[in-house]
Amino acid sequence: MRLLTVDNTRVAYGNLVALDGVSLTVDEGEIVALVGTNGAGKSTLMAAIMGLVPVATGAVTFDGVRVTGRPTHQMAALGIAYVPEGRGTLCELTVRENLLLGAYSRRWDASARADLDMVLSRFPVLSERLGQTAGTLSGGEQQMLVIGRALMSRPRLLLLDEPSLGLAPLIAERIFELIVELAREGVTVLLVEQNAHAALGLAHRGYVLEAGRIVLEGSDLLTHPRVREAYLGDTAPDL
Amino acid sequence: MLLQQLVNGLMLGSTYALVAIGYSLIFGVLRLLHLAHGEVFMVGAFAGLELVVWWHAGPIAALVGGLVGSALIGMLLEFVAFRPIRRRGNSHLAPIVSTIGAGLVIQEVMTKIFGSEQTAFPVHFSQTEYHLAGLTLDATQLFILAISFVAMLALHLFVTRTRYGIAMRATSENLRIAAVLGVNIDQVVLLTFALASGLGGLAGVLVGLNFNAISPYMGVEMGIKGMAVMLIGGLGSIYGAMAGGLILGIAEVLSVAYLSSSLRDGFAFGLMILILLLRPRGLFATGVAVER
Repeated sequence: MRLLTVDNTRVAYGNLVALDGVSLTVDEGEIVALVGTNGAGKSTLMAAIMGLVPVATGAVTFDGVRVTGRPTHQMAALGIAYVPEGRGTLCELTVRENLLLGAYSRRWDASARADLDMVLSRFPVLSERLGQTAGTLSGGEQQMLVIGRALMSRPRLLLLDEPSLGLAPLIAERIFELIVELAREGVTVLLVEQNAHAALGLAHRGYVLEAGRIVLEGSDLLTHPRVREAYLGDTAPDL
Repeated sequence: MLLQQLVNGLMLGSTYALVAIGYSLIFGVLRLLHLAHGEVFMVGAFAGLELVVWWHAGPIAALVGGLVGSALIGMLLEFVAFRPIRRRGNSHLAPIVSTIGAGLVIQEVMTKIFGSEQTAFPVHFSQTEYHLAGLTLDATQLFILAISFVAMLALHLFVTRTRYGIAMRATSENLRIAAVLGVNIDQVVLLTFALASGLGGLAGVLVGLNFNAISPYMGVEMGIKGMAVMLIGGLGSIYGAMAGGLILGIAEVLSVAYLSSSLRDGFAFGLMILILLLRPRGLFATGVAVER
């Protein structure tokens, strides 16, 4: 079943065109990877889905509902959770407060407390730090915190922007395993990653974004010569 | 004697703290210097006064009146003077100019209604004095201390224990992330204005009780002091505003007691400059309060 449709979407910052008619779909249960160089428009696409940047033309549809033009704060209730690049940890709030805010759109009742326990059993390291301010956590712990926070909203679609950025390889590996685990449990994931090899390796399908346009898509991008050359470093890419 | 002065300072300072908290709450959420906040405080004093004069309200009812009156004015300002300008976008200065204008309008309207003279604040407290460990406190002083500390405690519980309070702190740290998590920012901003203004109104009535005199211009001095207190406390930090308010109150009282009453403001502001020299970002610098 189709969960997310981005249709011919265009976003411009002044004269700078960030997305130039991008179309993309994500089906329920899929992990879809979005790769591309810095400035290709990957993060802008996520921001456009979340209503954080104005969409000039085109439309985003989630679960049959057109969400373009809706305020950002309605997305969580619709079932879209977004972990931005740089994590978006609320550093001055405690770990517990960060997690509870993940369930903000659905009141803090018994089910939210049950989800808190669920998240803590998934990330035991967080349960030792519940009362600490989140800014005191290490990078890897913060990444787990913000993913846990996103899970607190019981999302149907999880948007992850560069979740491995700045993490030690072992921790990054752990985050990638977690993404596969979540998908197996039924969370649909749209993943933006600078580590194209890992992202395309664990995704069901991928898209390559260049200068605001989708230039390639498919389920076998890892073996595509152009991808191998430009993003996986098989031969030196043209610079 | 020193202890007595410290208690007097705490009493004065607690009203500064209540006003400064308002600046901090609003600065935290909107990065806006709300230059009409002193006038919002003044409106609270007059709202309390009206209840006392027309309905012979007691001190508690006057406080509730001040709180509600100021909260309503604060929310009204957000709707008519600040939100429309924010919507138009990118200027950081335009909203500040709007707050200056709003303050002047409120001041002139209040002067038209109540005249520019000082008005007495005729709430009758029992004249009982309480003696405790060498301290002498009358009922008014005890009342002011108790109310302001209860208000600060209530605020602390609100921002740390409730869903809306935590959402308010989240918005203050990172508006974008708060929205992504489902927080309706417009709602939080309105709530912030209500809360900040309500505390200001409370302070207005307390100051009226303390000095038994209010005027449409009382917000000017209080506004400047509240803003200065927010700065020494640390931009956007409500605990900094609490501590800073108490420090300013104590400094003023001590300088009157041991130096000279004409040096009161000079000494107090000198001390604040000293604090800022030592800690330029304030006592409780939040680290992320300014960048976003």
